[in-house]
Amino acid sequence: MSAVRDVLQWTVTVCVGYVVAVYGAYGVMIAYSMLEERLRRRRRTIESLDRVRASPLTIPVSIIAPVYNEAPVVAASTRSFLEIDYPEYEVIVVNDGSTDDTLSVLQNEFDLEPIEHFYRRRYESGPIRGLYRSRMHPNLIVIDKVNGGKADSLNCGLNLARYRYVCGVDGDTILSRSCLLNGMRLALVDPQRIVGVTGHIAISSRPEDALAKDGEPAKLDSRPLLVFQHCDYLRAFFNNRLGWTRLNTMLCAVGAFQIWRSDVIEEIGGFSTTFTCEDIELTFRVHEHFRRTGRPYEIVALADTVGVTEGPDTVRKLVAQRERWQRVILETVVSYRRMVFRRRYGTVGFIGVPFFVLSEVIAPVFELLALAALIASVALHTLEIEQALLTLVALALMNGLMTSAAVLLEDRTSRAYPLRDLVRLIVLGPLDLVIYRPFIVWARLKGTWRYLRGDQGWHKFERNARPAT
Amino acid sequence: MVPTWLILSATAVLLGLWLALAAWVVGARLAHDRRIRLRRRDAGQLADGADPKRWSRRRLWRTADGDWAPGAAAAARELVSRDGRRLRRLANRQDHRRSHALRVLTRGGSPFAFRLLRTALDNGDADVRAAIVAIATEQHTPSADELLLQVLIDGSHPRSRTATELTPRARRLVPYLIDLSDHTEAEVRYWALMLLRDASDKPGAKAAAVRCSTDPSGTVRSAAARLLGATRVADVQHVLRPLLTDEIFFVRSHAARAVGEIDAENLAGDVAALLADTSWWVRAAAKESLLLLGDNGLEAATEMLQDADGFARDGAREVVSAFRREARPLELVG
Repeated sequence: MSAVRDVLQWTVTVCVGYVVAVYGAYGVMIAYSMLEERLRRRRRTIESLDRVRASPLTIPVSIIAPVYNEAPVVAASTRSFLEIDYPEYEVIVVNDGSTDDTLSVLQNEFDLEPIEHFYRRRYESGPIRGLYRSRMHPNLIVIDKVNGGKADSLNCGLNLARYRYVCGVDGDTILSRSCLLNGMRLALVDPQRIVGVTGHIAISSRPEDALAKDGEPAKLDSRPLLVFQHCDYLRAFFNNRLGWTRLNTMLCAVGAFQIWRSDVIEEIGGFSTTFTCEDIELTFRVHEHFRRTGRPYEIVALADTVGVTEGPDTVRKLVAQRERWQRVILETVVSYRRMVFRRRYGTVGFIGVPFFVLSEVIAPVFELLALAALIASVALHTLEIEQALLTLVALALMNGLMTSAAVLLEDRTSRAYPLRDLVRLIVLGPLDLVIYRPFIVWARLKGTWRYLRGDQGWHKFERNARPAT
Repeated sequence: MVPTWLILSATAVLLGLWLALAAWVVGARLAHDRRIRLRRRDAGQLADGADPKRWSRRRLWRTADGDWAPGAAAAARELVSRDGRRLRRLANRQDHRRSHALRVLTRGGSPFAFRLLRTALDNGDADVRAAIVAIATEQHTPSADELLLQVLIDGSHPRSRTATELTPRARRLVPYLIDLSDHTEAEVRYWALMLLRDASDKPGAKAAAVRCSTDPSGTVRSAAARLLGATRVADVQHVLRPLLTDEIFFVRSHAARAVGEIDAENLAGDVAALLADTSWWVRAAAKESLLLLGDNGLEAATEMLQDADGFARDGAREVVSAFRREARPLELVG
């Protein structure tokens, strides 16, 4: 029995050590994020977007939106791309062999006509079945191609992109009107150095209804599961990505909004089709490329919410999505493990990737271990039930602190959400540990298991139900 | 075994921190909303002719340092008359208040403002320099124009950003921009020509473009081609013709597009030949140009349908198909 107690004692010590390390790392990253947000806010008070909007010198952008079976949202999302407030841009929607009505919805909504178009085949991609241009919006091109996955579709869109910057977005994302102005404002500061920009995406069960009249995200979803996901995104973005930007170790330009300089993508050979998901891998590859060649570069995160994407509205769909994310993270980190603690990779190798490993890769194992240790400790009376409950409350409050910090950073940047929504987010923060986190732990464990089994499927979650129109 | 009092204490501390942070979020938001509301109200009152003489410094500062509006200028003037010396002291400090003090001084029409802005341009950091450009942009005075041009020349702020701010005032700066098109630094010549595009009808702009079309820098030659295109007059086609065969691809690309913009029918054949160019950018520009050239473009493209080069044939087919508004399956090459 004493041996069991000893093992338990060690397990508890290791878990406490992990908790201290991971929350300590989060704390440091929040401090960096606050520093970055403060600098951005000061700059913002003295800069005007109006001049950038009106200038013929503003660099044009090609938006590439791969869509696969997105019939319920594709019209709304494409409309949001076409309503973006930016001097010059084109929208390339790539229908990746959808088996539903996606293409016919696009044809009906945007009055598409077939065109002939010659283009550079810089990147390998699946065969194209047809090219269309909108009669209503000359800057909208739709590509109909054989199914090949998201990376394949992005590569196909890149072949047709005409401009120096490309912005990869998700087909189910509703972009805010100011997203490109905000994104390119950062890139224009130093186009030689800033090679990539990403932004925060909000969550809603129906993103097409989540924008205010001015085209900016302003409505928090009413369902608790969606609000918990919103908190999760806020923490991931405002607590981490702003800090990563400060340290120039931005490790994930989110697939829902990623602006890249097209020559950089060309240099590294386009999006990889061998990974389950393309966004994290591409960001890692850009870091590796520039660090190896010793050229100055920056990948930056915007402190703005650039759009709203559809979040799963049931636990089953949420688990399917998050287990894929866990596989993607594992695939990428394992593939780029050579970057860890290598001097040539600088802050990416010494801070970025180890932080990723600590907070994402090994987290589910420790979370499970901690839960098991807590239950065993109570069962073996090494911990009183009151003590176990107090420990849980303490951990919940830690999570609440993280959420509140993210809400503070978000609100100082955008002031987009009404006060009652901010209070709602803060109050739900500590409850995350008991209501939402268990599903995430389960999804991550499932993802880890599937990764070990070599699963590379996308397992796309089915669209949320919408009222008939 | 961890004592209960220790876990309890840690939990109490965390609860306190969480409540404090929550209060911070809510308090900061309420304060922000109130500030904005009051700022709008005060700016409106000043714009309606209210007298700010009895207003507190805090109230004046809040309005003077807010969004640019007529009321902001009135508040700034009153603040400068009351607190000019303190503001000048702040404008010489090396902290974030410097930009705000400079803004209030400039809005308030202080005679020291532009001298202080120049000093800050010399010894301020990147954020202060960005602020100076933004402050000068609000002012439509010769001093502001001069300062912005100075920033463009010395490159103390990203030139692309400075040029963006200069764009709306390019037409009244034509003589200066023409002078700058002869500057020793290629990047300055480039931006001068780019800014002249908005004033391409003004005397001297075309001559500057013609002169720069033989510039040793390819970037400058490309800007010259763009400016020639913006003139919309066909008598510059003899200048564009050599640029169509320039050794640098982006010069050829901009020259091809310019041919379409000035409707230089005689150069349609030269542009059609670029459909077989080694650079995709040039081929794409040639295609756009042929479409702009109308019937001459169609004729030149039709001749290229039988060309030996696969790129040229495909490009010509695309142009012809766009003219005829019909679409056929195409074997894509590229």
